[in-house]
Amino acid sequence: MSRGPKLQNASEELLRQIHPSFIVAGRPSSQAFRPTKKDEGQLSVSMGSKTSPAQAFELHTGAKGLDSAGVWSLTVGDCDALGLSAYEDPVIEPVADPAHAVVDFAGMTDGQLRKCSQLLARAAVCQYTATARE
Amino acid sequence: MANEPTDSMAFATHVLRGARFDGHAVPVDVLSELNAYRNLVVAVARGVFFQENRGRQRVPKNFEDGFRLVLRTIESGSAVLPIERLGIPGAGASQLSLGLPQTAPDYFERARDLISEVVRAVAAGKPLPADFPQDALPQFNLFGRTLIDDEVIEMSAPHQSKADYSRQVRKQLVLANAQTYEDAADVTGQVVQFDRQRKVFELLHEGNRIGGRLEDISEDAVRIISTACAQGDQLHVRVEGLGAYDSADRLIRFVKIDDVSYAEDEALKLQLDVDKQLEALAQLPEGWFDGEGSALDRNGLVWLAQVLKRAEAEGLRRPYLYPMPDGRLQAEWPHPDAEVSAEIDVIAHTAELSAVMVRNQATRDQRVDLGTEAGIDQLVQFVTIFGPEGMGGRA
Repeated sequence: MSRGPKLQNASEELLRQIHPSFIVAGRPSSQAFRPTKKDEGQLSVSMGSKTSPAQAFELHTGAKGLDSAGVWSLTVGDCDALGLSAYEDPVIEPVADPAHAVVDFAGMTDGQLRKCSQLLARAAVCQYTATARE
Repeated sequence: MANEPTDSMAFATHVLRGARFDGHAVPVDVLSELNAYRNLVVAVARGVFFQENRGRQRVPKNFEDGFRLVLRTIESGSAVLPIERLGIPGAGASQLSLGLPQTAPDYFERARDLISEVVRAVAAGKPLPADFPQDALPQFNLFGRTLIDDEVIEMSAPHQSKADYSRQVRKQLVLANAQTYEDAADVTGQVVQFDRQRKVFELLHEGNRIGGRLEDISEDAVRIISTACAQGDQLHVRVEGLGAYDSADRLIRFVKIDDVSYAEDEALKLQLDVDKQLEALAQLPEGWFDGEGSALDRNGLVWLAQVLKRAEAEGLRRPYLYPMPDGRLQAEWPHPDAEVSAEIDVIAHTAELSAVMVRNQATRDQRVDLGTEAGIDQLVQFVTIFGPEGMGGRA
């Protein structure tokens, strides 16, 4: 695995893109805060120290061509409280994303995944949502 | 405590004209105009002082101390506010320390007269008097805010002709030296941008994007704004406060926000209507999740609608319903102290229930068969027990 160093600063913000289907009445699902099968236990986030919520949103919905309803933030401290570690994970290609990081859920049971994602969703704070300008 | 001066003399009389004042009563909020007027007089007085004392950086110490206004009575018969000035005009530090003769009009009386003069000029469509201090013009933003369209403050002072101060005059005075003027704002619209980091949002109202700051508003208000933004055109908000308007009376930005609320109180409840949520979920195509994600079984969704309505009749709160990439569906119930969810297989008619207590991370899991009456009762009981109405905390 080519991921970088562990993030140590508890106040570091981790920005998470929320898929539109995972928002109902403005509330994100806990599913948005746990990795899917294809993610191999690694939840993608962006480091708040290296990008802004607006920039991360633009990259996700623009160059990466993925859907997002907005950006919610966690902190490294939120993850620490659940025994989860976050790591720098800069991406070079196909789309450069130097602010990319991951939260490591590897090895967790389904029950542990559910619990952590429920508590992370609870801690998450909406940082950015937008409707494209006409 | 220092002795209060008891001598006073008439300074100005403000007569409130308009339908609201026909009953000879003065609404309490209108009394705030007296303080705004007092501050306007002080600002103009300071401006006059600087005009006449070029090179001075500050007004004399205690400049304002000799200027105290009181309202002893509201005269019967109409909404008349006789404003009196406490103490002896000209005896303040500003006058004596400069060696001015005590017979000279003091800065505050001159300011009062200049205000009347500038109001008369604008009302008559004439240019502003050249000796009116331009720096004081923004103070008119604060004076007259409570006036509505048909209302006027008729200002009079000894040896001065009357001056009618209205919303229109106020607007023209502020715009004489600025791009915008301030007035009450109460608008409803769609939140089209929310940026917590930059502490800004934008409300789309009648085709205009109105900017606002998230500073100095409650977290509840921030949450309403972010929630509404995520809902797009489905959930509008009402913002009340003070706004900056351009010369065409277009609201440009919010200057101060007093209250933010959902435009419709029932909006959120309607959003959680089971049929409405399931109908939206039924529209998801194969690959809805960035190329992955199975479409949900339509017959299964019809079955689930019946189950959830039955459970709602038994006291279950409406859940937030989300699709799962594997074709199942997740129902969530946020409670004050716990997060509860159900992963529902709409084909097998089963559900994996899980709850986690926020304070100690304790969890409880249960598998139920929603194809039976007993299973539906178990769902209701499981979710309810973690809510405010349940026993919570026992996990």
